[in-house]
Amino acid sequence: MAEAGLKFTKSHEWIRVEGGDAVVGLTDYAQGELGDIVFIEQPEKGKDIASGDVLTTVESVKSVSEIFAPVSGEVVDANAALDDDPSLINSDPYGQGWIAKIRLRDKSEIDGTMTAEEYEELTKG
Amino acid sequence: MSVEVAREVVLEPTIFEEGREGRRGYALPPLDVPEIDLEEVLGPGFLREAPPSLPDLSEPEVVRHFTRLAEMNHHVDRAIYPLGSCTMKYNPKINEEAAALEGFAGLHPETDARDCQGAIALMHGLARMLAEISGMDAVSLEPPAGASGELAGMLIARAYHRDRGRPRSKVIVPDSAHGTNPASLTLAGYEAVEIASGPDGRIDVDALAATVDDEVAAVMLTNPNTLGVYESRVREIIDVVHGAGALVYLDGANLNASLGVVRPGDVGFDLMHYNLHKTFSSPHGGGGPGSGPVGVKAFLADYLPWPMPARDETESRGYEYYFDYDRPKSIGKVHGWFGNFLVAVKAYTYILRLGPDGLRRVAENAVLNANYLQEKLKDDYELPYAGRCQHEFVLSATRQKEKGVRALDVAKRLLDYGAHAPTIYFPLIVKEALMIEPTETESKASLDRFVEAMRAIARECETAPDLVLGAPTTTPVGRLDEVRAAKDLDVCWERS
Amino acid sequence: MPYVPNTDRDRDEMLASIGVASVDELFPGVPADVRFRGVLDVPGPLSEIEVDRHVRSLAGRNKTARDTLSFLGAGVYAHAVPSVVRHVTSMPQFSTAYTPYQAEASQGTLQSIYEFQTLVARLTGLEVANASLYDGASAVAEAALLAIGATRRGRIVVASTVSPQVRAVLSTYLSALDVEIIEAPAEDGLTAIPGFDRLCEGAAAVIVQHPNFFGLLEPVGEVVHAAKAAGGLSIASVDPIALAVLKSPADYGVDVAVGEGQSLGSPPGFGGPLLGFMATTRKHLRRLPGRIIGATTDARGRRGYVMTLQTREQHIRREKATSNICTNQALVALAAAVYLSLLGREGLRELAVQIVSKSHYAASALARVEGVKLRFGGPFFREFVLELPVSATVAKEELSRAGIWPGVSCGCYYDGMENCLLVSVTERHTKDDVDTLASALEAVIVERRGS
Repeated sequence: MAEAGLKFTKSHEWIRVEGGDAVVGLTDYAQGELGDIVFIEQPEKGKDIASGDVLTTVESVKSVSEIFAPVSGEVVDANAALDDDPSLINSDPYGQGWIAKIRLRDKSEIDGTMTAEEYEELTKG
Repeated sequence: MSVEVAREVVLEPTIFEEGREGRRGYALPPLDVPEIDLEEVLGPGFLREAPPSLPDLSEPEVVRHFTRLAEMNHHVDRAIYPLGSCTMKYNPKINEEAAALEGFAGLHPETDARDCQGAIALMHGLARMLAEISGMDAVSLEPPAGASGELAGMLIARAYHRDRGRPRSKVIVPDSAHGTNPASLTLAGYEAVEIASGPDGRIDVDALAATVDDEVAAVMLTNPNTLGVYESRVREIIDVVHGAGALVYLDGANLNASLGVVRPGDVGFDLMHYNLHKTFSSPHGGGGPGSGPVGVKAFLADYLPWPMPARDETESRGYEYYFDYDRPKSIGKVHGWFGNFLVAVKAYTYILRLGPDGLRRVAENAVLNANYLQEKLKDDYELPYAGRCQHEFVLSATRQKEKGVRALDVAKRLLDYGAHAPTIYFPLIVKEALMIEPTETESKASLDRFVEAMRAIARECETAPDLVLGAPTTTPVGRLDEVRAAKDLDVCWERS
Repeated sequence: MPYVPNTDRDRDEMLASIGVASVDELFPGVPADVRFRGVLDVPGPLSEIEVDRHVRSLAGRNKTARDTLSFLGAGVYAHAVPSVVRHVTSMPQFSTAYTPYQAEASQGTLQSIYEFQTLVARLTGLEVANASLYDGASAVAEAALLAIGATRRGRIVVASTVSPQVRAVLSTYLSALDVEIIEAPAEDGLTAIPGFDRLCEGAAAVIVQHPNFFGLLEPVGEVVHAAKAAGGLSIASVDPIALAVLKSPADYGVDVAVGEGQSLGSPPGFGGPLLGFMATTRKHLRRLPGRIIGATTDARGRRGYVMTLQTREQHIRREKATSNICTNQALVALAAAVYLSLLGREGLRELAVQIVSKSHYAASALARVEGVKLRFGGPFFREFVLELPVSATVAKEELSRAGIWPGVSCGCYYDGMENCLLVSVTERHTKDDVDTLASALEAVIVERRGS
């Protein structure tokens, strides 16, 4: 179930805007598809990233997936809790399973993302 | 015999848990020269403070331990092992005897050519036989595995293009390619360009034509492809690629379907690798040693790794066979010595046993066996590509998935029926793939048993899916927790 | 028709099932104009008796340490192979099994490899090891790739005292990548330390072999220090038997230890199959190439083993894999595990002590021959270099006539060493063997001098 109040991308990331920052993670749908997540490479803090760039990779037992930055800006924080327990992405994808915080460079980029309803439509199909 | 250790049940303890200080399994003769005081002669700065912690076991204990481990393995000598693209054929025992001969096993690679004429003659002979079988002109036995052969092939392509002005930057692979293909070309400094297969599982020739340009150094093909289907438009494909000045490489993993029937060199391939541990019956060893020789057409021969076994019939050196080190255009070396020579010995004896007729019958029977299985299983499982298969074919467990059973579960349940599972989830373009390659060394009776097992499982998926989902139950251990393995990362026994 | 069970009758039944009249119809995709209709020009078919005769005659044309008194080494050694090792590796349950994709039916292979990984980790002192690589040479190359990936630098420093075969393979593996290889010069057979620091600047990795090609013990600590100071990784190619007594790579702070494991229970085999091994710290675990076996449990709590961290490997990562390696050297790794289990802690130590004792006895005995001296002064393990008053090639020729192979001629590999011989001694050599070599060498030199 996609959470209301968040924005979504086609590549299954979610965004929560907090002031000038965007908190980013993987959707519930994505974590279900990936299966048990065993490792996530920590996104580089301080790194400048453009929308569509690879933010990091996440691994399950039998697959690796890339997570794309949904917005451009500077990576100001990464969720260190995922180092010890990457399964938080599975159990609490919108809460404790957050992945990175990006300081927004261009707020209008958010307008191009999907609402929860639009994302639900996408994943239903 | 199993031992309870805390909450964990241990079928066979590791060697580190067995044994006892003071036990030894091997004795040396007494030292017949004065014993060196290591500290005095080497200096304390070089010495270890404590010896490494190794197990202390007697010889009978070692034999028991590894015998019990052996008993936990499925293997080709026991029953069918239909792993697609692995060619798990019977491993003739005469091969083992040949490789164990002192004159081969005991031979040192630094031996003067004069004193290893037999070995160089064998290598020279095998290289010639592989070239003849495949329609190539020159073969190097140096790569110690298929992936290494691919790397050598890609480096040869690079050297060839460099000589022509620039190495180019891309290599095309179909989306059905074995993972080693894109991995190897990347090591050779190329960018992998993947093209989608067409609806019939074959290369989309138009898509290929649109993608090939003068930045493409080579196209890597498997033929028959990883779906077990022969690329019937292969000549067109080769023309398109050659037209752009690029090379066509054959991943020879599926050569078993072509022996004596069609030679890649005749079709137009420029270079290829062979898997001696697949097509040429050398045993797989649980994951090696293999051997992946690389074969090329004459115009690429100068680039092969050095040294090359050579023959001088005039014996100007005083002997006939020698290693040619004078290869200035060679890509270099992919192995410290000459490759896995003892594996080459096994391929050599295999070819001698079969002869030209025998080789052709291998391909004929391999393809017959696969088609027979395909015919017998296509009603119970989805057949994504319904045409004539070659030595292997792919089923899809999509029908079973609707009942909640996946290819993985079918594979595990097969273990309970005494067969090894086929390859699963490869090629990536088929959902719930089961890739089956029986090989020519399975009898019709063995195939019929396999069909019965697969049919029984298909029925179980309908009527009793829990049996399949809970499989295997007759193997020493049940389904293993791979998530835990990836999280705990216990890759080394620690004393707890 | 050897190895094909189906009879004509079986085939007819199967063809009928499929609905075709002949096997020929099963190849519709093969273009008619390239269909091979000829007879392949290969020998055979031969019966087992004929094959046996033929291969024995080929094998009979090769001389080994059983027919000749051989002191050949240079990375491959004719140590004694315990009978149990061959017994275990000949078991079809091990040899005719394949890659353990279905772990539940492959626990034998998987556990034996887990044990091998653990043995490598203990010998090197490092935390994790992989399931094997093709040989020591490609292991060094793979370690260099690991370092390049980890540091994102394009420079590799390799000691010139690293075996020539290893340096050749390293060079080939890196030839297509944007990587510069710098060879560090040697002084008196060892990696020269003055100026070494500067050489290492910007290096992804620094590679040293210990014992080196000349059998000498390298200043590993200083090499590691220089690598660390430059922000690169240190890679040590080490000898597994020597590690019974020598300081381990971990003791020196080496990042990646690799080496050739052939001496652990495998015959020379004319150079293959061999056994590459690699061990490193947990920090680099995800960058390790090749297979890694991990322990886990099943639903009933039974301990089992599986291939793990497969997401590094080619079948998942494809072009982004840590390496292209698929098939490795599993059966040879099994041989090593059996070998080390038989020798154990005390046995391996005793073996190392015997080797050092015999090699030093030999070095002294040979250096006493008039005109012969030890080329280098540093401590050595199993091999040493003699400088002769005649060309090594000539000495070898003469001694060969007496049924002796005194060693490897260094002049093929290093300039200015045409009179040098690399002599290798193992536990199989007796005092008499060495004395025989010494007198024969003396005779050759006296004769050459006289002429």
